[in-house]
Amino acid sequence: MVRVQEGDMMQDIPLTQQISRLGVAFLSNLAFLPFVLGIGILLGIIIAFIRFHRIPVISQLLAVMVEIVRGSPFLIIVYAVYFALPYIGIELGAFQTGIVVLSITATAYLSEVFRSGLMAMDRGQFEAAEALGMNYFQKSFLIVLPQIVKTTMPSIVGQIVMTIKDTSIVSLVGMVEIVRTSRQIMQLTLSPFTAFSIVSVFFILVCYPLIVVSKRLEGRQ
Amino acid sequence: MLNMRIVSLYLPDFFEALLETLKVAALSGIFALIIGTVVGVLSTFKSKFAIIPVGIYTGFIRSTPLLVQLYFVHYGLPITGLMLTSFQSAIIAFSLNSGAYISEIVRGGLSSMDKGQAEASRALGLSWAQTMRLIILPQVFKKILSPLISQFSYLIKDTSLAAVLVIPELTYTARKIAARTYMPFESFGVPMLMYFGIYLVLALLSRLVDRKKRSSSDIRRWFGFRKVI
Amino acid sequence: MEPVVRIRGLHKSFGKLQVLKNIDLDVFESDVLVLCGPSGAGKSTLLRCINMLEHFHDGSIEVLGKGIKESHGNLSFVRKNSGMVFQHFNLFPHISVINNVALAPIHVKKTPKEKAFERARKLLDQVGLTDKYDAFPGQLSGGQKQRVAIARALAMDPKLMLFDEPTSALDPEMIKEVLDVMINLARDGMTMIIVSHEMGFAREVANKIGFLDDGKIIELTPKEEFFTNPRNDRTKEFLSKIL
Repeated sequence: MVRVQEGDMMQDIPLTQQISRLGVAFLSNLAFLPFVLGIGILLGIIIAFIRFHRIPVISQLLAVMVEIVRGSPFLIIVYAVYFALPYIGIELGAFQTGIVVLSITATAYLSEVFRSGLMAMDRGQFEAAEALGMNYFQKSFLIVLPQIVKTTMPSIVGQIVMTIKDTSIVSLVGMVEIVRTSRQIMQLTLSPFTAFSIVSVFFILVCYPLIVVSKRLEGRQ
Repeated sequence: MLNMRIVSLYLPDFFEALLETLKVAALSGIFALIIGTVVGVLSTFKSKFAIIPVGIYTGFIRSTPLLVQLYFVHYGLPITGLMLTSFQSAIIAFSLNSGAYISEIVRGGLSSMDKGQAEASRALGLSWAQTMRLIILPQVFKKILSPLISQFSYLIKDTSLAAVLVIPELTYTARKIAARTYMPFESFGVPMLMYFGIYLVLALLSRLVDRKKRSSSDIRRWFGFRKVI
Repeated sequence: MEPVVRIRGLHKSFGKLQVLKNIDLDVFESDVLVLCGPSGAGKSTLLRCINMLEHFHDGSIEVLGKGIKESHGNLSFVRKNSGMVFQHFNLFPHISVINNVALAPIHVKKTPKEKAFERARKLLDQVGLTDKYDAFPGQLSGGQKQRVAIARALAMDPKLMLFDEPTSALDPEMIKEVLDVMINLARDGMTMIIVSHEMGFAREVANKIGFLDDGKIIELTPKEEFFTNPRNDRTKEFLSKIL
């Protein structure tokens, strides 16, 4: 957070080296995704179904938890987890904090996506499935879920993009990923535009196609 | 559950920080609205000179993290000779960020506008600018009020990143007090409740707006549009 | 006498589809011309070219002596001096009825507000909506909305009134109130071009009828001749189907 000051030694890091260092660091950002998104989708669906069926006590509890997560800035949740958990005996490193907070956040937002998808479903679908004699799980997995996934795909992709961008915030509790690395580079080379431009390109390469996909999916509906 | 003594001791600090958060959000929000409206209107032009820059701007903002954009402004602009305070950097970054999202909302509102409105207006002899100002934009803003409120809710959460620039808003203050008191549950709990409170208020407002829009054909109550003339 | 509207060699295509083919048309002062024909014949398109709500490719349109394609100034002049009434009314929902009527005079003609509102009240009285000055479009019936739309167009003191299927979106019981207003306008000598299916109305009020089919003016004759002795076969076919 300290601006570059007089007397700092300028190091010239060639562009290719900057790109490779930042590229490697970006892998740390992407490393979060499989687990975080997997958990997010899995738990998100479960929470959505529970809340949709209004199972007493659990639904309300989950509702409160989801809303608190959705209503709080990502950074403050990260700080809260990172600084508060040691007091109850859990020491988390930066990466672990990242995994935990990103998973919680993704789950909360995705549960809302799936829940609104459920509520928007045509009742006739449920009825037809039941009339055919399907039990609850057959109905949910064969009929409801596939359709919800299709209609909420744009939002799901949107959430993936959000998660990718949020990984940058984990840098603020010390994790070595692309944004933190770029600041280190910037402090040595004294050229912020180069460093941050490379970072931007990496993010754009991953996020922009996803955004295009999301828009196209939305258009098709 | 929470140590109320500590809470009450630092409550004034938290409220001051809350005010700072709201100040940053309000200022950024106003600029973002202006930027978003201009860019949104531009995006409806047919010319390549409008569509391409708008596309680059919104594409960049939406594809890159706010943190990176913040660093770009804070560390990058001084290189071009422009010296900014942390507060100014934050406002610029948040305004540009939110502005892009607002422009998308405005664009959606404009494209779902009934073409007949513009036609009637032009047939009456009103210029393009008058048509926009008197007929189209007032109706568009009424339509997009709810998404705009949601966008403001996101902006409030985004202001937490101002903590990175040592701006004494809610998240920064939470950390500061947590470090001072060694009581993180209270130090982070109160700010989180405050954020949540704002979030709830805005969500309820949004729902209220939706309900009013659906039931009311008496639009006069909304903006007192007698003043249009 | 100079025609109010003079069209020569008008061509218009939507992409590959040619919608208007070599249209020639003269409309003189106090003419009431009704354009009829099958759907898709190009009637509305022709009307909308006259005040450039549609752009045309070849040909020329002169309104009140000004060629509308030639300059933006001419187009502004034409729009200020012609009025259009739309099938779906297109009233401005966010302002009251009287504001709808007074808006254009105030902002386009720079009429002082008091005068504009006074004129607006008079026009609304004329179309039979004295008690609706402060109502909002959302509170009005279709027939009432269309009458406001007519008043709004008249507020600009046009020399020419264009009607694009003015009663097609109305429930049957409301058609009469709008047609009555239009009849009065015609009797007062307004130059009117009306795209409509209401042949009974045409018979009463028009002095010329134009029949369009497939982008061409098949027949353009004085009213009596059109109904009693149409020249073209397609016209006869069309008339036999609707009368």
